[in-house]
Amino acid sequence: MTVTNPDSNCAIPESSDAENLNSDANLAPSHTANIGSTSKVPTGSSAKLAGSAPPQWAIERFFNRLGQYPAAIGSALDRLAARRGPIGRIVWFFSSVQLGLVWLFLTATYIAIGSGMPWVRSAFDVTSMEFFDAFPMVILMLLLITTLTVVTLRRIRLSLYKLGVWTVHTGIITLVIGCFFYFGMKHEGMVRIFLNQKVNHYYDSSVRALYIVNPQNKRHVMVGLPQLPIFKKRSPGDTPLNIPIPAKDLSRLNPAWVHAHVAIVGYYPYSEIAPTPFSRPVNHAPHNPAIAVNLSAGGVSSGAQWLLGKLPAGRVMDRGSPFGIEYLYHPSARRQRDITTSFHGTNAIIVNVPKDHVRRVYIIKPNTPIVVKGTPYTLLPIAKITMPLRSPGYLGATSQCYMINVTRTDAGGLFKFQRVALFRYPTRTVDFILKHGKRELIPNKIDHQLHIRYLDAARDQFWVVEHKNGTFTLVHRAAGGKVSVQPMKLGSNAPAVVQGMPVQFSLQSDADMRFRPELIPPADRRPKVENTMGKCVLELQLTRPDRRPESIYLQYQQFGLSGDLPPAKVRMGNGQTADFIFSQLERPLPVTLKLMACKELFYSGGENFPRDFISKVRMTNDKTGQNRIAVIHLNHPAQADGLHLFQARFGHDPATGSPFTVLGVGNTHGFYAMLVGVIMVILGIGYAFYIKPILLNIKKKQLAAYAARLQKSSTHTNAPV
Amino acid sequence: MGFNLRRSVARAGHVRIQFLASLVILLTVITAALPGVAGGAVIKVDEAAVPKLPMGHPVIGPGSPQVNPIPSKSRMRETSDIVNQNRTIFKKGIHLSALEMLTIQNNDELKTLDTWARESIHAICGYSSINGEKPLYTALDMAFRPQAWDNRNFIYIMAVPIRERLGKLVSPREAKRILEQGTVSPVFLANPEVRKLLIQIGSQSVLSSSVQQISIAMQTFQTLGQQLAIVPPAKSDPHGRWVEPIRLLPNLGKMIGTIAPNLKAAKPLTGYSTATAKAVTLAYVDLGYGWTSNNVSEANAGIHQLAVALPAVNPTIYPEYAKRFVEVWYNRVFNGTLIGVFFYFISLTLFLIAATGAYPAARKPAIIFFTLAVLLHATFMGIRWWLAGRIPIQNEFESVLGSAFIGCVVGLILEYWKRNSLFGLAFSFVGFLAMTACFVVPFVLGKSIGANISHVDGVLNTYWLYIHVNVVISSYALIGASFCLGLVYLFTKLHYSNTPASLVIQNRFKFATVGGPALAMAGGGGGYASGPTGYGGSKTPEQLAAELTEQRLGFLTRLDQANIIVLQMAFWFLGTGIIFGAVWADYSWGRPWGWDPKETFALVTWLVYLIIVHLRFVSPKYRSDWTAWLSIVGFLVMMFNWIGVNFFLVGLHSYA
Repeated sequence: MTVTNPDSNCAIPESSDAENLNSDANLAPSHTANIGSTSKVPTGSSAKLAGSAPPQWAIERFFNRLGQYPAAIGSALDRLAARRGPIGRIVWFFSSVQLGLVWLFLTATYIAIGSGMPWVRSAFDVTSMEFFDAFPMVILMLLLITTLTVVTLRRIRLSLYKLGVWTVHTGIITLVIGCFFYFGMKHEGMVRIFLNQKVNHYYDSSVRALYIVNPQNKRHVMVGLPQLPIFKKRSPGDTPLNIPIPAKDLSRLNPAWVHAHVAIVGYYPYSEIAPTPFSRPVNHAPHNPAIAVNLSAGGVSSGAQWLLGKLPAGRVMDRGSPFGIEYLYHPSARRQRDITTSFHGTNAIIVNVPKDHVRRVYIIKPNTPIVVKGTPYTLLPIAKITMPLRSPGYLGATSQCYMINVTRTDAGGLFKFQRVALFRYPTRTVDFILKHGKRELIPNKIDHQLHIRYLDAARDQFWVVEHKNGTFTLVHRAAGGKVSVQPMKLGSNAPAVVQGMPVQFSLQSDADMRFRPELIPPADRRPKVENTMGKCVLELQLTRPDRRPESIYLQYQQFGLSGDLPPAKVRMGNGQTADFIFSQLERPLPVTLKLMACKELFYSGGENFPRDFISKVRMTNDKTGQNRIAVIHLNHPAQADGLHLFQARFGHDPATGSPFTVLGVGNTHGFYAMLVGVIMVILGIGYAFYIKPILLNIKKKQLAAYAARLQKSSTHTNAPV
Repeated sequence: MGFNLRRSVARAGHVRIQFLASLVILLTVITAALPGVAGGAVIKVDEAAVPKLPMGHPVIGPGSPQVNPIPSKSRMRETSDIVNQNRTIFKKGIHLSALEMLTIQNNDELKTLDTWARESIHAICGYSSINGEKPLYTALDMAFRPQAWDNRNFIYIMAVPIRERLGKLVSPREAKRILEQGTVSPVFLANPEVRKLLIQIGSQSVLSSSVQQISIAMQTFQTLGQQLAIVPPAKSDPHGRWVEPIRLLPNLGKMIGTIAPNLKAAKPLTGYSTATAKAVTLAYVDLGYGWTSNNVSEANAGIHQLAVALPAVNPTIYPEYAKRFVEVWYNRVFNGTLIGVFFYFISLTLFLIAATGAYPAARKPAIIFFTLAVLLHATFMGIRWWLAGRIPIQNEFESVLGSAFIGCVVGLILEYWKRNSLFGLAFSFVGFLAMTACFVVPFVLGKSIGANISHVDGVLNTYWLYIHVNVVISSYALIGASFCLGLVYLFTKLHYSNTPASLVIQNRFKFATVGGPALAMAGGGGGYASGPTGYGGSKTPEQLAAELTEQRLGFLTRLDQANIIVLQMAFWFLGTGIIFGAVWADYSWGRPWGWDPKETFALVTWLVYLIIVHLRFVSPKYRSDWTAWLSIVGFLVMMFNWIGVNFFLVGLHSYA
């Protein structure tokens, strides 16, 4: 018992002894020895002799009575432990405090290894969450709470003075059970919402998925990939994966695709898809035709620069140099005609109205109207801009554009719109109209009878044209619009003059550029799931009856169908393609979220260190149609039908500048059980360390006074008459 | 043997109090008055250093036009003149005191120019001063005369492997110098070969942060002149950015060579009056011109004009003089760490003498020093709180000092209550350790651990930070004290086992018999053995040996009891702190527990203490030993969690 050091003037150290959390652990079972009850206080001996019970507080009596019930269970366990046989041995085994300490030690070791040695998690191919949710941890926790339960019931009788240890032990058991619930049912992920965009799903953080889209009918299927490795490389050459994509999923997108067999055969963590040049195939067209050009001027050489014919951003080089270069693979006759058209000026447009058999070249200047004779069109050039493209597949591509207001005066009416004509990618030319006072984008153009091609001659432009017969020509439009054309051959030089300086073009080689995973060097890796997931590649194998197997590589991206990377376009036969995306599993949200507004707040006068991100979101319950507005910002989350929404990131689309917010999403089942558990632990420790010693001191004084009274009374009674 | 502060003070008289007060003031004044030394360790730079490699790339190299913020004047000297100037008279004659207290906006923070200079110089050369000069002098010289610094070796390379690799590009003598001093010149760093090598080294993740440190140092040097945003925003835009003086008159650049006549035509930036803009610009140009042309009187005139003009631009938002004054003073006294080291060390030594029984009366001065140390600690924490406008527990520097402060307050209360010198010993050790670490680590590692006052990250901008962090760091201080007591226990026990009581008494008798000196102490705890009877007396050696053994056991028991008091508090505080963190995480991020390394190692520390609490019952005979050993283990786990995790593991608590 704690009151074994009456000479000490220190109230707390005795409590440490803490209380005897298990002070009687090596003694006889508590319910038989009545350990912890006040009757064991040594000063009560005289009271016993006198045949009267020592004084007890009501609360003491309450807990003593309450303690009878667990004590009865403890007695039953005692009887079981006394039996011979496996059950008795098991109860005996779990009755040891030392055993509990062994479990604690093993738990601490397991946690320290799992957290401090990330390579261990990597070796077992599990995330930190999976490592700490794995069977060794579960078994350790089960053993710990079993030992805790048996020891508490058999060795610690519930009383006012053992309330602390009982609370702590019960709290730990509640906490562990709460953890099983919480982590067993946990889902969490992220959702990215652009301004004014609506979303009703989020992307799970731990489970990845493959998305297959039929661009023709816009249908898609999602195949969850929980079995995918995390840190371990799997490649068809040595350790192949074989996760087939169900044929029914493909046929759901297009019945004709049922004959195609798609399987996941490889996985490359810490990898990025990088272009690798291969020799061009002899019998069929290259997948990704590419050429390597070298530029030299004034004795300085640029080295081989690869241009990729089918990748819009990859076929152009026009940043950071005084001229632009573009590689055109099998361009149309009209495109060839356009780029070889000479003129005299810095900006020109080719206006083509097939209906009226008109094709003219105009030199344009801002705010100088052009009447296209013989047609109903009047054009008013507004301004030249440089614009990044956001169309799928055009990531990273930019082009000079000219904004031209068009007025059409036929059919007895007046029709106005604005055409934005692109220099590099004329097919992406768009129209804008004013509708209800708002400027509305018409991506596929509103007037198909008018064709405007913009030609930028503000600086020198080169085109390396690869013709269908395999020959090359170099088209050079000097600044000012004059065009010269010369043939090129592989390995030979083509001279040109740019702003008075002689430049040598050489076409060094051609290739079929394949995109293959390139491993990040081991020294730069960290076996942390976020890093791995952000940089990994999936290898698919597509087998069709009429073709040999084809490998497809998919770079991971976070936000599924709305991700930043263009999808991999795969030829499925009959001239049809499917889009493949490797990302996270999509899960439904209980509400539809619409981002109404978002803002980044900085400290006064600052612009580098944000102090908060604020997202104003409208939540609509799809079932009831109820709306509510939530303002979510750092440390101020919102709830949506049991899901927690919190501010995770904030940013702007690099191409359009449109702001977006990224909200974290997670459920919290079992949280309150865990909370109750930890509160019990903390309160129990506080009680055992700091309240109980005070109670014991008071009790000690009370019993001493009681004993003194008894002794006095006994002396008085036995005094000789 | 109780101690009463009031009685002691009365007994000590005014003389002793005056002595102590004088000591505090003296230390403060000494450290504040030595401008060169105040910045910390001083680096020596050889001005005549000759580059061993050819000049670097002209575009990225120092001396590029944008580095110098002063618009050219027709009478501006050539670069060669600037480099070859004799600056001795200028250095002596320049008065920077007024300039030091002006405010600058840097990294979105408002700070004095003195603070900005210290931070910049530290980022560049790993020290706070070069050649004993004032940091502001050096920073302005680098800003105004970058050409003069191009060939001087002052850019610090922290990582020794990088020094070795760079050494292979130069002569053996220069390689040895780089290895020993760790400094190189901007020209050296701008060399393409060096840049290529650094990029190559930077691709190795182990050294990437070290390469980044060099890159930051170089970048800081190159952009010093562009950072001088010392003009407060206009009255019409009180939340706007501060601007560089040269931007006040945007079209001034067109008038290079004939500034003064054309100032009349210059239009000020929106919101500023023409008179203000012209006054500030002219003052700044005077300073810059005076600085570059070695004209001390013109530079001083510019400083004087700036000191008058800048606070008047927008007095409502310009930081008050008292705050700026205190900030400069706070910088000069090493943020109070050196004074703290001194007082905690004295109290630690005195408590050690008193606790071991060698001279129990030492406890009185010990507790006076300890109280003074805690008061000074509180003062400096309060100053930092005032300057930062938030509770200072945001980064490693602040959390270490905050932790020690809370621990020392607890220790002071316990010491006044228990009067056993042990709590004073343990917590003055914690205070000393924390102050020493905060003072020394930046110079040893050459990197900042957060001594600079900065804004709170957005995600930490909540009251939960203070609740969670304060409780956790309190437990860290208590764990530190428990470690100290455990260590003292183990060393004392080792000493006792090496010198058994019977042997001690035997030796004393031998000394007494031969008339040797009556030693007061024969090892720790020996003082108790002398007892009231002195040596010999009426007791037999066996009786004395038994008494000594009992006294020794008593000392060990007191150590154990003190340890368990501290340890229980640490256990409870740590558990509560972890839970507060979990509740915060659940509220803010929807997940109370993420198995982040900081979380898991805090849990491991807590489990160690849980094991201690239970081991005391399982093994009553050795419970004190178990407690002492596991206190040390718990401290090591805690230190790994606090410091090691930041270096070796990646997690959510990188700021902690």
